[in-house]
Amino acid sequence: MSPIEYTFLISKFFLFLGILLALIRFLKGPKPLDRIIALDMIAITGLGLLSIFMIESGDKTIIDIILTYSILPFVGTASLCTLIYKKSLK
Amino acid sequence: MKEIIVATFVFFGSFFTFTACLGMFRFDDIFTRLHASSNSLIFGISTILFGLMIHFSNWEVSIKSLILIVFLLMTAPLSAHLVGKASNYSK
Repeated sequence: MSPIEYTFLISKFFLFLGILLALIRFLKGPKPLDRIIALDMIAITGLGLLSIFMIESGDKTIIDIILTYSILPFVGTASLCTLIYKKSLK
Repeated sequence: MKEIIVATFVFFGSFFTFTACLGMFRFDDIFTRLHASSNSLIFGISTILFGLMIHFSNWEVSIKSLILIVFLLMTAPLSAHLVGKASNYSK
């Protein structure tokens, strides 16, 4: 195993550990807003994992998947936060 | 030489992303968690995407990942602002 592949493996392990920590925060967050931030963080970290997979495999079409996948957490966060904000005003 | 630069970018980006997730796990208030989620996460992902841009050296991939970096830099403060506003008004 070359040092470059070893570095990519360590990077993937870091991102996997980050997703695991955010998942623990998602499971035990006291408020709903904590869970929303944790879900956003899980999605964006998965985007980085997908990008490392794209570098390793050499497939150029995965950039479209990454580009589409980056829109979803923002839309989810914005809609849920607007819902909580409008519900708290009443 | 190019592979070494790409590996350095990817390693530092994933390390910063891991730091952001660790801050998400350790902090005890929603505003400090928002600080960890908004700033260092986008920096780490942008560094990984710069490594991807160097690795492929292609116009299509470079322009698309530049669009992705600009989109992330635009939407991260927006979502952080919305979460902060909702957390400030809801008890």
